[in-house]
Amino acid sequence: MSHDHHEQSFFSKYLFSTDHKVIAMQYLFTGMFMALIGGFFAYGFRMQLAFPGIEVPGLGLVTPNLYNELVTNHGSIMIFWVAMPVLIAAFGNYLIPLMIGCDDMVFPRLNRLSYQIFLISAIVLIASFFVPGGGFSGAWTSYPPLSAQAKYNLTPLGAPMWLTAVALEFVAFLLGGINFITTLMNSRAPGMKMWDIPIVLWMIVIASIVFMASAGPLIAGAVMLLFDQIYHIGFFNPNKGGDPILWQHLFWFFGHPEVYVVLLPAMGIVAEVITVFARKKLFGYKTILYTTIATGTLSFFVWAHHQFVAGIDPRMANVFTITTILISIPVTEMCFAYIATLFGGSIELRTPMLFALAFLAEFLIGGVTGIFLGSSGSDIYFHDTYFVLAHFHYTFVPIAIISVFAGIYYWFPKMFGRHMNETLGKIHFWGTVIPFNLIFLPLFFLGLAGQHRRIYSYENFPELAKPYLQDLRILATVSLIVMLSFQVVFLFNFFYSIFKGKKAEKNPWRANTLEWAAASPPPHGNFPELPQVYRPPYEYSVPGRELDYWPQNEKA
Amino acid sequence: MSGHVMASGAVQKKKIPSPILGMLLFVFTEIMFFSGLISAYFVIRSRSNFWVPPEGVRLPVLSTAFNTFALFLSGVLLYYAYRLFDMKGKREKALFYMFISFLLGSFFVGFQGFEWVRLFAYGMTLKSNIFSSVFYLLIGSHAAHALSGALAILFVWKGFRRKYQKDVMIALMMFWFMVVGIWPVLYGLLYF
Ligand SMILES: [Cu+2]
Repeated sequence: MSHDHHEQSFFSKYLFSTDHKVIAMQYLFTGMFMALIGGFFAYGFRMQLAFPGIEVPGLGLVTPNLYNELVTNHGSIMIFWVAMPVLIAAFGNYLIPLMIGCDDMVFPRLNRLSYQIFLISAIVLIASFFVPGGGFSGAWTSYPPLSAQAKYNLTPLGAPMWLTAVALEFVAFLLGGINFITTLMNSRAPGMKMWDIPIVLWMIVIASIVFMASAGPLIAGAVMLLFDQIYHIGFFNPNKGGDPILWQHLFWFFGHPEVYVVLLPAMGIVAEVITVFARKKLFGYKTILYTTIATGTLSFFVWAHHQFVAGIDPRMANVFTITTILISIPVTEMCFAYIATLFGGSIELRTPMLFALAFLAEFLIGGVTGIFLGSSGSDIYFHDTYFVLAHFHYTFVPIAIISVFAGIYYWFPKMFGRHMNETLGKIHFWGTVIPFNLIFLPLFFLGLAGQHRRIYSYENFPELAKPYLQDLRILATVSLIVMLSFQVVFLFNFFYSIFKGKKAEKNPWRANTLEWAAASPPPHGNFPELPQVYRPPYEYSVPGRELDYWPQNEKA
Repeated sequence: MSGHVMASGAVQKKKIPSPILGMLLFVFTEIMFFSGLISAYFVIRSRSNFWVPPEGVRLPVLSTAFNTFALFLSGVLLYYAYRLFDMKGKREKALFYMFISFLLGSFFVGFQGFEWVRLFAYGMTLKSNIFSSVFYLLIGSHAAHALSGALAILFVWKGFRRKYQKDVMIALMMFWFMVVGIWPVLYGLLYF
């Protein structure tokens, strides 16, 4: 870091800072640490599925209880403690003030409080793995009665701790969301009108709005579930007059919009990367913005496609089938706009661009397979099979992993003032994307073969224990191990480059947005003098102009 | 870099001041929280063929009506204080009414606590039946908000004795009006 306005001790600078960039780094590093735990858990249960009953190296025998604990917390961690903090909180905190050309968030202390609550939530979750009975093992969707009664889930302490951790995490992101929206509305640089805001910021802010609108009912449900767990009330217990399906509605009223809460920032990151590395104007800026709003709005009317099997009036099932199919229209439109942006561009296949393109390709598979699940007719067959699992990993892995890598490789020079190694980056790219497909393509076929999700060992199911099915499971597990090992390349590249990477200049990618007008890395306060905005963010290869880019803050 | 700062300063003209916008968003999530609770109420009630307080317990409908009035008055007085702050020389009066608003808000919470103690004594607890569980959940969630709202009025009032800030007052009113506004809905759903 270059000079600061005032001397700060290490403690106040990195632990109690209100600087948006420090808070973003806190979120990023916490998220990366949690991703390691989540990845390790996946390794644990995948080993059990491929080689039932073996002593897993580094973990030991995976008992049925441990298996459930690993699966539950893998899902919870990857969504609540990796995708959310990295995509929304880390990129949001880092990019919003820099890209709108101001010095910090509107409510910096609220921002610090948000991270502190988030950190506590992560600590509570990790602590829950070590209490008697172990961590929660009722799946990340936490359906009652399994989640509500300790006699079923066998985790009397783990279950309430998990729920508390999730609730705290929500409070953290609500505070963050208030900050993001208010800052984008009120602190933009002079001259930056609505249509001059980079699309990634629109997406992060619309995602925050969607999150804030959907989180309330789940927090209400969490309070009720906590009462059920601790005081045995029975809000979700039919024997006591409650309703277990009620939880599913409250959960998925949040849970489905949540998909778009993490998808939108990922889409935004990809938009920034492809425009820079195709040297082209973003195709249909306003169309993309409107489809984003349409996606966010529609996402509130699709949740009951998760109850097609649990029990829902068939007439309602038809309505939710229609809304679910409808929501693929704006998302597809967005993807088309991105492809149109690429068309005819001078594409430069740098590491961030590779990840951005992979995002589009892989997410497409996730989207297309979703259509089968959104239609109530075919969903009844696919429900709770590995087809569902493979489908949502084809959406979530591009979102939470691939787009995040695109973002990290792209903004790394700004964040740390140095470049990451390009060769290692490309090795990491292929080592991530190829095994990713080899993990989840087999799982589609297993799902089609009728393999149910929540089974600890297939040895007792003759139809599913066939050798050719087991081979697919082994393929998936081995691919996972390969993919995880290639992350070592990334971690090395990341930490090595922070200290020893090639020095980066202010604007190494020749990009237009305002963050590139600040020094790399930006000092406390970001800009020596606050910038003025003269044009939209994607003026690349403008005819008649010598340079192929045109920074937003350049006067002429 | 060719940064230029407008003569008027670095910040754009704000349409909605930040404290107000922030509170607007917060109130929005709170309303969604209560919508979640209220829809839970409807779902549970619709499948329960037995939706009454435990035997021998009658809900204090009338005294709660009086309490509702106290809460409503508290909201009106807070608004009155807001209007007075804008007038010249009415500062002391405004602070006085704001304090009364706080007292009425605390009275609402205290009186409700007193009613709960009596209900407990009559044998209606959180676990008596699903009606009482839902009752305490919804009313309790509201009471928690009313308590924090009343404390917020006191806290802001203390700050205003030194310096009045209009944005903070508007933000406070938004939160308190939410508390006041949701109450009749809950009262109607659970007491009748
Ligand atoms: Cu869904």
